[in-house]
Amino acid sequence: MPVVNMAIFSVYIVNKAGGLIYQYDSYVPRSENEKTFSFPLDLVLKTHDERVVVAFGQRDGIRVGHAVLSINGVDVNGRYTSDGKEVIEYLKDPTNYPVAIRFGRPRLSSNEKLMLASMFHSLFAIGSQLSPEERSSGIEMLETDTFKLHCFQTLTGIKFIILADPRQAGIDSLLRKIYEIYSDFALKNPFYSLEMPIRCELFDQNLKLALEVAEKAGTFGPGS
Amino acid sequence: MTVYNLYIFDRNGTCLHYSEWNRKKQAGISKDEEFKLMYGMLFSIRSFVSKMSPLDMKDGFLAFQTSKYKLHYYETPTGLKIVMNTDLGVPNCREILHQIYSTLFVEYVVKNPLCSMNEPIQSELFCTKLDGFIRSLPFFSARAG
Repeated sequence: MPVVNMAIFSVYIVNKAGGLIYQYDSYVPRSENEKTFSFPLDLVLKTHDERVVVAFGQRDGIRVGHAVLSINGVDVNGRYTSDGKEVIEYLKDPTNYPVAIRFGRPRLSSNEKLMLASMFHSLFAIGSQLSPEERSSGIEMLETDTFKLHCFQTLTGIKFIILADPRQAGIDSLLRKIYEIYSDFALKNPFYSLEMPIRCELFDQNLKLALEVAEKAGTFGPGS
Repeated sequence: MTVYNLYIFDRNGTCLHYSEWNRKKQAGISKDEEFKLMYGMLFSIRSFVSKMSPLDMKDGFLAFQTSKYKLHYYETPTGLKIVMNTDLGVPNCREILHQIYSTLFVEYVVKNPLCSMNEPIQSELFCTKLDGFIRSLPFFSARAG
């Protein structure tokens, strides 16, 4: 049985004004750790962006920046648990220990995705402005140690952005394919308004199909 | 294959050093503004990358490329940022940027009692050595014109 390499993480589509009009997470690897702690907690927690995150301390796979996801099996929403208790206050009280806390990388909320897409829209333009060579495009590929971001801007200013594993090949042709799918199932849809969020079922279906094909062919195929 | 320019920033955003070799196009703004824009862009990219990353990162943002150039980035644990713009043919430069830090910056700036930290580098020796180092790189070729 061949192991399916889930190497394409997400797709973002940004309109001419920098607003996010489509977002799809194909595969987001989540590292989560649940551990039982006794008082006092050897990690320093703080509130950041409406979440409780680790500010200092590292143990057993729990890193700085990880958020509190659940306490004793009860999911945490922002700074409060689902049954209304304030997380940091709860963890200051020794009578609540021992406590089982699940930590992990925080999931991006829809708002955060919107903000990040707009942020990238601006960074794309600055990349072009700071170019030491003439007639440079904006950022087409951004590389980190955990993912590679590929961006294709069409002549009409729409950006197709793919986040994938750094080793995944064939992303350039996948970007062109997604452009084709956008033309066929969004633009040719009489009920779709330009620059608006894409809510076309056929677009979703064909996009998912194209991602599956690219993943299967990608890492073993010839370079992009 | 060539190197266009190189920036060194400290942890506060002060541009400690800037050199250019084959730059064809200026940014259209003053050098001070350009340094601030570059630093701001890098700061934003780092924040963007740490939020977007699906897994915990070790090195973080490494490089980006456009249709015409590639920007290589290296940051030390003390917040010193070395940024090099090259053309597209150049592969991963992390080792080279690390070498610039360890053999040039540490040797000629940090160890120099007359060079104050967090201020633009005045040392001419550093500039000469850096220029010599970049010109000796295998992918550097001074273009005519």
